[in-house]
Amino acid sequence: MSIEGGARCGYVNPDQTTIDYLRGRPHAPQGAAFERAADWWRSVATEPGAAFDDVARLDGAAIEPVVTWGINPGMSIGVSQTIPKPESQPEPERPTFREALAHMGFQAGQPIKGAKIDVAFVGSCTNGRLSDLRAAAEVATKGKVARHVRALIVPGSQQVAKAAEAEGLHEVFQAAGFQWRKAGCSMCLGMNPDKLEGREMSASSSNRNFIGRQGSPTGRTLLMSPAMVAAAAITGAVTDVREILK
Amino acid sequence: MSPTDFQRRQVTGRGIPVPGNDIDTDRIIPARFLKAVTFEGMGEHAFEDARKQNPEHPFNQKVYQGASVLVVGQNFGCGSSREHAPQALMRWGINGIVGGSFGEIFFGNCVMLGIPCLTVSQADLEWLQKAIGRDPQQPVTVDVERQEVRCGERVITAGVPDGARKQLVNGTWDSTAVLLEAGAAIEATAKKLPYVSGF
Repeated sequence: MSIEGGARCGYVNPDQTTIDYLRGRPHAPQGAAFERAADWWRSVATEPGAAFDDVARLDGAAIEPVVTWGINPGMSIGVSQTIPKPESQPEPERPTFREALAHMGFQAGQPIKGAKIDVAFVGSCTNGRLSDLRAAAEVATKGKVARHVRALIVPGSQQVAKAAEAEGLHEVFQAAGFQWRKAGCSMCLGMNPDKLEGREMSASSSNRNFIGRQGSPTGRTLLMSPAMVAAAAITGAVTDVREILK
Repeated sequence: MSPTDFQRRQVTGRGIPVPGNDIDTDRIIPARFLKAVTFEGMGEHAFEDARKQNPEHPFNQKVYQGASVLVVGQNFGCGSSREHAPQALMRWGINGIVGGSFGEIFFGNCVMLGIPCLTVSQADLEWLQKAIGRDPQQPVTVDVERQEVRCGERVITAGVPDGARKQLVNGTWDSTAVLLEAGAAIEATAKKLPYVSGF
């Protein structure tokens, strides 16, 4: 998602977590070659004391669940917050804010919590890992998919699908009324028949909420975490997942 | 093609304004077209959904057919990195773009297709879009070498980063061709990389 911050690419320093994750995986070097590779990866990590042009530190624990309300990923607010007024934005940003409100059918100042959804999608390369599915499954044990909601769970890869099924996650989802689907891109970008229809409102764990992104030119997308999508699927509206897990 | 065919010192053609900020690549070319095996015919799908929603979209207007200089707003081409976006615009007939700012990857993709993207001030953008609207037949020149845009009597100061400017002016923007010419250097570097030579 560095791209949405205007970057050409993002970089994560290889560390022990990276190495532990890669050990024994398909396509990673095996045996002694793996140890040599791990040494090489450690050697390319940023050295201590390196100077950066700019440093931003974020405390993840202090960030409440975030939901997008508009037509680009930057148009996001905490789930307890209200949709900003275009007048509160710098002048050049205001036309896009007005366009976003018109497309989404929202009023400035309205809370995002309670916005009704039609579709729930957990998946995408961004949020379709095993840990994402576990987080969503935990929420799925707390209720059933709301009657008016179409809810899809799409693993990020076939490996993730297999691992999730070995843990029985697919059964948890199915028991709660979610569809357990084959791995793929699905409703992230509407390249297969998984698409929004008309002005449907989607709670989606994918990474982009541009106009038309989920396959309908008038469709609407609210981006949020996999656990938040599962919560919205159950209540039928944008919900603070922490209230369900309490 | 001779090396001079690749030089993009300047591009001249009729203009087409597409106003609005933050127009992302999904709007330029919807994702369903990513399934295409080649870029052939991609031009007719440029802005397809936006055009269906809005019959008055500039790409629908008869008066702008045949235009080749696209004039956009801020942050044009943000979002997904798909090459299909500049490919669709190029195949529709766009040879040069003038805007307030561009998505970083979109800009790079344009350079690699030999499409110059020049930035001008917001005030100049608005003037240029209006001027084209008043007289869509007049030529607009995107001068990469001199970093200016010319329309009628006006000469507008424009910007393009040095690296991209050199590639366009010298005709070395086709980075695949440049890489292929450096075959020996690539092989020498590859031999040093464990990903290629083994751990």
